[in-house]
Amino acid sequence: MSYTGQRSLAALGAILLMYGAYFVWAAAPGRSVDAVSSRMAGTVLFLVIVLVVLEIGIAINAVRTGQTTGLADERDRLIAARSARNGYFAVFSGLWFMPFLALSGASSVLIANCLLGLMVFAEAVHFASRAIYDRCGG
Amino acid sequence: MATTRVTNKLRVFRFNAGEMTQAELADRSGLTRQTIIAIEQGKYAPSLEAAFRIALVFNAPLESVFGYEA
Repeated sequence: MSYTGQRSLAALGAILLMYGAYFVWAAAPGRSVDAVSSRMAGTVLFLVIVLVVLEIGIAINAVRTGQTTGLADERDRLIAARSARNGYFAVFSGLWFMPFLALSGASSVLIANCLLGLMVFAEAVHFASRAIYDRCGG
Repeated sequence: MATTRVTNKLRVFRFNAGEMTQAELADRSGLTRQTIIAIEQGKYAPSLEAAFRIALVFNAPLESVFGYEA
């Protein structure tokens, strides 16, 4: 698998695992605003650390195996653009619903988790798209 | 993912150029090895500029390296 493919899959896996665990925890009833906000912030921080460690590991492995790590050619830019577009559509597919949710009197915790879930969904679509396009030729 | 109708003879030209590797062709044409692989497998159609750069590596006309299936 290519260097960019490895990075995309690693990011996708980390996002799904970390946020998946968070949403399983957050789905339990009776979570206070303070508990949700601190858990959410902690999840984001821990995810950043995990992603940095994964990126370093993948980069070291790429250098060790002689893969190209720095050059981004036209195909890489095309894949990045298409993947970003897919992520945008994923965000837009749910974002229009948020004003109605807010106006319906939903709790701040629910609104915050829905927004976070939407962002996680968009990022998952983005990285999954990159991995698939990289694998299938672009 | 759909394959492209742009055909190529990269593998033949690489072989005739002293068994040039995909990595060497990538370095000399300013592309990545993954892109060269995708082009050879017919999964990616290079831009006109990239196609010219590849043809220039082999010192061959563009239409001898690339073709199009109507």
